[in-house]
Amino acid sequence: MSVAEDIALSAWVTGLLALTTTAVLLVVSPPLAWWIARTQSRWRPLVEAFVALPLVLPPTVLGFYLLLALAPGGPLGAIVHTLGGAPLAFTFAGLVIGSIIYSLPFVTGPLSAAYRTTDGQLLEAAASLGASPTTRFVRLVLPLHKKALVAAGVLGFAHTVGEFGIVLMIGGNIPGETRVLSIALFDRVEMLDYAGAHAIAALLLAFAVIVLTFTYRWLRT
Amino acid sequence: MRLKAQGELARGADFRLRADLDVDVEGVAALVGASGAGKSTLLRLISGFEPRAAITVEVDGERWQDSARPGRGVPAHRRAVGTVFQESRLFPHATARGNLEFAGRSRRPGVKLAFDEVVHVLDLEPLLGQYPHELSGGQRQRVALGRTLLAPAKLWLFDEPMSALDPASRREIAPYLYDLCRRHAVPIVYVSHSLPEVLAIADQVWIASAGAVSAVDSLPAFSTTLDHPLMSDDQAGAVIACRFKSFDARYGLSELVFADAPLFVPGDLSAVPEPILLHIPARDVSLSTAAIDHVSILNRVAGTIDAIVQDGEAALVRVGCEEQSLLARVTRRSVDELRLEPGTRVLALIKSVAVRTTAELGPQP
Repeated sequence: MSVAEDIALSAWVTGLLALTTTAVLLVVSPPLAWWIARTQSRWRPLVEAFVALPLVLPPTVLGFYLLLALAPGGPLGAIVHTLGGAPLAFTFAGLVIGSIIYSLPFVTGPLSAAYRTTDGQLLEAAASLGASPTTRFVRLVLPLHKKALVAAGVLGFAHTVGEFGIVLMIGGNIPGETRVLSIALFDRVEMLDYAGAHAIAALLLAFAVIVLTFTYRWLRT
Repeated sequence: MRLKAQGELARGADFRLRADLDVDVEGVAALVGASGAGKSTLLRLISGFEPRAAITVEVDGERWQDSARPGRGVPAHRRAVGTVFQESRLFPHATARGNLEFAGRSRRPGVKLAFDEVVHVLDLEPLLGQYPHELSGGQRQRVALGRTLLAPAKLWLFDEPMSALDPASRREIAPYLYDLCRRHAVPIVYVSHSLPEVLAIADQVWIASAGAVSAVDSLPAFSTTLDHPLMSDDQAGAVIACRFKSFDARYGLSELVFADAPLFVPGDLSAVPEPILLHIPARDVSLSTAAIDHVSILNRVAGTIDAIVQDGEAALVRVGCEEQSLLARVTRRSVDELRLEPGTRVLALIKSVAVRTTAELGPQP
């Protein structure tokens, strides 16, 4: 496989993974972030800690436990097996699950920070107009913090593109299935193919710089 | 509508609301009192924004909140109460139309007004496409008022909704609210600091003081309470209820009956529903201890002084006439020279009266 083919295929896997992960996170994160921002439950710190784990743990630690969980004998793997599904370890689906967990704090964190600034007076006004808690969230909180949602989505996407440790543990290196750009880069360096490594590294760097620059600029307008 | 609020709410060291309210709200109830007296808090309680307060709130026998079970009451969005806040609280991400449409979605019980009617009467048509930050304070408040009227409700709570409006819009909107309230039989509790506003729209007056709602009065009883919170207004004076007797087309005067005495009021009042309410500013009432005939003032009512209080450089004298009362503001020198004291028989000379009818307040929608 030529370098160009390798980059194209890995970029395709990376893009698909980041898109799928971001799509799931944009559904899961807003309600979770709203709950974290508003709840008075004593479980909040624990939930917040679990969401934030990928920020502090080496990705390999998460990857290791996910590998155990997703293996045919592991708890998640067993459930999938009873439901008649194929094993998840070393598959694209397994990679998606890992990425969701890995990028969760990058989407949920900024969102709950934004949600915490919600003007309580507006929520009261909405309630006085007969809006239920769900309606208040969907029709008031989400549109009020539309920018934060877009920014969190972009951040989640970019972060998924840049993941490495978890993929290495649970995805492996199957071209067209689990070989993402960061893995391809690592692989090239191992093979002492510095020219190929340069191409991939520069691509990832440029992507990160462009995405972040445009996001920060847009957030200010 | 029967409204009960009983219990005590303490917040911090220096704020207490001792609610002890059990009233039939009909028409417009004006809630008056000094700032910090707990007016807004009482409205918040009824709306459901103080769910953990140990105060029992009951509306038409339905218990919305129970002092014994704080935090377990009917949530705010299911209470058929529409609130207009002091601030407009418009949703900044939506246009005026978006804000109005937000209100129309609720399916809780209550009266629901037509979108077009509300837009027409509050003159919102030109504002519909604009965002809150593009509107003036008065315009924002009009949209907020419209938004509340579009959500289903059995009771409306207005926390000084007109304070941001210019006098012209006030004169237009006040009679509309008054009319709505009667047409749909939705009572309104209306916080006000303005005596003219209270005189224009209130059917009953609730007085809040020192964190408690201390009295519920009819408008005539309230207006002749010598120490009510709005007494310092230039317009302070008695509101009296009269019957119509006849209209004299020659002079353009209606003859009304008050405490067995005739009162002459400009204009044909034959079509005004009884009792006809007249507002008589205390500054426009003079007192005489002897009958006088050669004077241009037509309206003279005999009565007995039942209270005198000092009012700055002047004195405020309450004159009982049958079941009702008049107020007169006279100089303290007059009090001494005429030897006015409770029990003195006097003749009240009335220089001006204002008729309280919705027609007087402005055009009907």
